[in-house]
Amino acid sequence: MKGYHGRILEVDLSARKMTDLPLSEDFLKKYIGGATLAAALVYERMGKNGSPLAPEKPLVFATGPFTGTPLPMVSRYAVGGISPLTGFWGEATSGGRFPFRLKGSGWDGLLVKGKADRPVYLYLKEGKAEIRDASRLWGKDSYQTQKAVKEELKDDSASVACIASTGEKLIKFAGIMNDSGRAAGRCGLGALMGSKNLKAVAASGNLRPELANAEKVRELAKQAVATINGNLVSVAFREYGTMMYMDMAMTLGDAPAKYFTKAVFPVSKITGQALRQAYTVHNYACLGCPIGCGRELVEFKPGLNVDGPEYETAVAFGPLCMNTDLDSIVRANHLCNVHGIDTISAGVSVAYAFYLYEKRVLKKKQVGFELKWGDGKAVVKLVEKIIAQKGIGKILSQGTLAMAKEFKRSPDEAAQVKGLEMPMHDARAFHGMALSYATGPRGACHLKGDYYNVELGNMVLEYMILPGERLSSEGKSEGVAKYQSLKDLFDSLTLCKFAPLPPTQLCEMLNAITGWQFSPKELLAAGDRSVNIKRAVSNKLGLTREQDRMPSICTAALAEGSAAGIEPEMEKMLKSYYQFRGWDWKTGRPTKEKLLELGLNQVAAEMYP
Amino acid sequence: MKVRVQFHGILVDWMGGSRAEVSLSDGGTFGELLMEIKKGFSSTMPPQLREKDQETFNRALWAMRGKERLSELNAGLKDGDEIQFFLSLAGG
Repeated sequence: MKGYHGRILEVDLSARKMTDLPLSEDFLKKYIGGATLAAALVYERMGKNGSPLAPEKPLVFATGPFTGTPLPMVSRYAVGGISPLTGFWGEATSGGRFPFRLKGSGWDGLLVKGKADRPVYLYLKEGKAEIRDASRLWGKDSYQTQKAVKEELKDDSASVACIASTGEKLIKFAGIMNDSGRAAGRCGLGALMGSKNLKAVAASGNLRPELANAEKVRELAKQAVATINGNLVSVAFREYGTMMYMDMAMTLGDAPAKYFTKAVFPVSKITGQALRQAYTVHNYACLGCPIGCGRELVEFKPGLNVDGPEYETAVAFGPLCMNTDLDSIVRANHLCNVHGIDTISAGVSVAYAFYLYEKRVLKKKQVGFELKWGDGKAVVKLVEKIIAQKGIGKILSQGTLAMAKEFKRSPDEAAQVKGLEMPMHDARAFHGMALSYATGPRGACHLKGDYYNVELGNMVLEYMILPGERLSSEGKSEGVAKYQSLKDLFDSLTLCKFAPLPPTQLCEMLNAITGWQFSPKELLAAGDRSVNIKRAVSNKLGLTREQDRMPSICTAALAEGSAAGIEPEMEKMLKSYYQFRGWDWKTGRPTKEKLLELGLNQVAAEMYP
Repeated sequence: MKVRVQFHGILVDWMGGSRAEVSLSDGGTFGELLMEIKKGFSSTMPPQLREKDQETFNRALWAMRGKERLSELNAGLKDGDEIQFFLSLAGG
């Protein structure tokens, strides 16, 4: 087998036992790696009932065939399990150095089950693994934890993925942090780690699996770097990071404001340029990335460097709260990173609190202070309350769906799909995004089908994924489904979503690494399989078509902005999407025929006994 | 006739400012405006802003007149029009 170690480290924390779980080449060919591999392993081991946080529920860290190779933009890993936030399939990915180190440790990933009797962390280094005591780390924030683990191990080359106190407290949108502020943020998988008393995973080493054609991989790497550097998006991201999209987003009506009830907002104070003007900004790049879209703000406070906010975070704590105070956005982002919570779920929950306050549902005495739209200090205070689990923060930390229930509001007011908070690309500005959010494997997700990019002109000719009229619901289903499958594959191969590489190039890379003979058509089928195995996990947990639903707060026509007066036609788009996907309109499950077509025979046998 | 042009985002850096006024002959078109922009700002534009042939602009360059997206080169402009230029690049 080439390109893989062919084994996962299986850790039973209850029994303090570690074993190798061999991965066959057939299994890997089917599920490729990363989040898809995680989903396949979770499907087999999840059981039918019980809380997502029950000890027996599995948590998987997985790299992919691209991780650790000379290819650019491939230092990615995925974490998968049952989301404590949604109760369905949950996954998150992150970059940095940790993915290279995890693969370099000699395993393709690890599968954790059980619960340690006291806090522990795992140390994987070049084929050896240890379960180590983490009692003295419990309570530390994510930056302190990473530093303390490396110091204790006396291993400077180790990279650490960890939780902060929020994961220990099982906050439903606690994330997993690595390499300072890199986050596998979404779906609350940090709480899964916390539920297992697993504080951190440290990985070290340079064990690389043999490549089928190493020379070809190096040649493809050079070509890919040239493609990436020749692409305009690389130039723009390098200069201003993801916040460079801010003013374009507002012009298109894509950046939601005032908790999804407005689409017009003065953004000039919170753009990528504004960030550069206000602070000393350094670029941060994941290992092997020629772009470097990450931001580091040097001396934000004397002696303190912080991570710069991404577009999603800047909108969530900015326009969504009607906030133009850049300093407060940076502070809120920093708090989320240090304490390991998802900035999207946190930002949307905070904005919902402002909305409820305006509606007089939330009162000053409940909050402890006034919530006036645009008050950056109040935004930061609410984030602090979430982290500390104090007062109103306890309710906000459950996410918007639980907030709506707590305050006896319609679930249509909760900006989420399947319980996962809505990202910062307004569904009214790109109707394809409404469909993508409604049907995405992990809930409302802008990465599992960033269809706005297609509508902006980034077509995929090989799959005939072509831009259409962004404000129309006509003819979206096929393009959205194919694009979701393609983007799902990025998390199987473990390739950054910003890599502007076409499917033919991806096939060449995969084939040179593994010695396989994937065609673009087979690659897309692997993406379809990925979407469907994740769907099957969620179906097993009770997912039906009812959950493929956009809340009306995010679809109701706006009175202003570029997308004013128009609503996405969800029922129509969903019907034709289901038909194209081969999903049953009544049950929300993949049909037996579709599962068999994708080679998911075991799933078919269980779903249709 | 004169057309007002406003650049947004990173284009401000590349064009050396956020606003410009461009003179066109009466009955000028969107294509002529692009030609003028190319002539006026070519020294500060990165090569990636143009397609491989270096003749046409990268398709990520979007021009809007109010809510209308201008894409046809023969689209007519009129005196006093204000055209906003963006890069349709997104992510994150």
